[in-house]
Amino acid sequence: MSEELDFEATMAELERIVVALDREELDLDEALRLFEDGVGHVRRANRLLEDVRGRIEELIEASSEEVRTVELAVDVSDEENANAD
Amino acid sequence: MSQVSQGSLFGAGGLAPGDAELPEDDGELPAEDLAAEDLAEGAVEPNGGSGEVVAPGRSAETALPVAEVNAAVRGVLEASFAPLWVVGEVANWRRVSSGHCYFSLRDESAQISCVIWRNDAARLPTDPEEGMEVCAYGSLSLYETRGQYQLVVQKLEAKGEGLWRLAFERTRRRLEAEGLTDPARRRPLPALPRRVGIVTSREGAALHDVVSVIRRRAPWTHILLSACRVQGEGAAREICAALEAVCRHPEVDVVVLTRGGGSVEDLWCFNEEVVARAVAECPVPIVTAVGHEVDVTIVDLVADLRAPTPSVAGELIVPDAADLRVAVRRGSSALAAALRSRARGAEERASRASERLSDRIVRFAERCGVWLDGLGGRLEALSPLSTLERGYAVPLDVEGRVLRRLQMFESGDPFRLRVVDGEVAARVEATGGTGAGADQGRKTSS
Repeated sequence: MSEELDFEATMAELERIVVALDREELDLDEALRLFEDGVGHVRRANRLLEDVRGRIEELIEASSEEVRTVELAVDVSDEENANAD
Repeated sequence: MSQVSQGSLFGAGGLAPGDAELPEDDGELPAEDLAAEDLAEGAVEPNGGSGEVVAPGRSAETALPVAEVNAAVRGVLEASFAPLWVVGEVANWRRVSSGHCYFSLRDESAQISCVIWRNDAARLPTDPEEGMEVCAYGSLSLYETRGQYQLVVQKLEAKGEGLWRLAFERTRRRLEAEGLTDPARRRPLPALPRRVGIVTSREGAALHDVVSVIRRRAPWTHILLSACRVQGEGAAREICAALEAVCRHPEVDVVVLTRGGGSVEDLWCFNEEVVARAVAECPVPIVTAVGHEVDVTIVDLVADLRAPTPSVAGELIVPDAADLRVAVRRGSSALAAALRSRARGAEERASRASERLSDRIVRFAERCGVWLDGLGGRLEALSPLSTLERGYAVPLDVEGRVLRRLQMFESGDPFRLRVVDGEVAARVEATGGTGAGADQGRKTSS
């Protein structure tokens, strides 16, 4: 659904793979294939964490049914300002 | 005081501020000029100008109408007393449909009629209980219609924060009775919210705090502010509307309702029942962070989670990216470890298998050895050398081929005889005998 849920799903999948690898009955080919999948999930999880900065918006026309927003400048900190997009 | 009254009322003909015998050092009389003017209007003008009327009310002929007396007394009362605090017990409290409140303040021996006009009454957290000891702040006045003097109350406070406490407890009990404060209603927060809705004031420090913390910990999180006033009249309605609006956004999966510290009065809108109900009905998990750590408000009781401060709310809402990275690293090493152990398992099995295999080979080889040893004697017997030993010789042509048949010999040809210890040069004297295969043999050898 969302990227963040993807993160959770990715981590869950990774865990599943680790558990599967610990089982003895896998043959080596299968284990290697699972490992490769796992590496893909690790990469994906890291990418999700490095992902772009979220937007800060303000809801306007709160009374209307349609949801409209505007960018909101919040002076978060000096460090943030230096990196602001 | 009586001097003041007389001076004001009956000195109406020549009224000027200085004429009234007013004690000038008395702080209770900040509005003496105003009182004098009011009286001048009431007493002088209806009688057709100053100077003409002397001592109104001194005789039946100059009797004053009731309304005029009441108006004059009212003026005196209002002019003579600065607003003041009065302590007493509440009796006969009534809040009428117009919104005004009427009651009496009394002690063992006396009582004062009191009124709180609608606007001031609306600011009361709740109605006081009968007999509750309160302090009322207001101005003394006269209700002219009845000729009854009264205290027009602007502020009403119970001992300590009694009235706030009372209002809080009343609301809490109502919500509790409906099960809205039941901890079982509390929903877990999403582990990784995509979009956080913030309901607070645009200008407040709370917004800054929450946004900073979210940005620091989980910079990918989207933030949606639904702004509203968070104190003062009308704030409760605005909070409800802002809350409802932010929940309409389809991608908001957690909401924080927050404001920074303030007085009990400042924070009061968060104790209002209508706000508490809006929080209880919030379709997505909601975190409240109102005031400082020690401030517990009604909304905290119905929220899914109460944070002691806005910053802590930020920490409770989003995970720290650093922790997530650690989790990914941990997952990644677990993966590597699992593969390593899996590979080690395979290696061990392979080496076990190869050990078994080499064992078998060795044993096979050993068996082969025994067998070969046994065979050795028999092979020996088959060796041509032992035949030569027995005296046989092998004729070989110059090229080393064994001459097996008559046809292979030609008269006069040289050949060699291989004997057990060497060779002998020889020559064919003659060939003799017969052989069916003579032609064939010749062909072969030629």
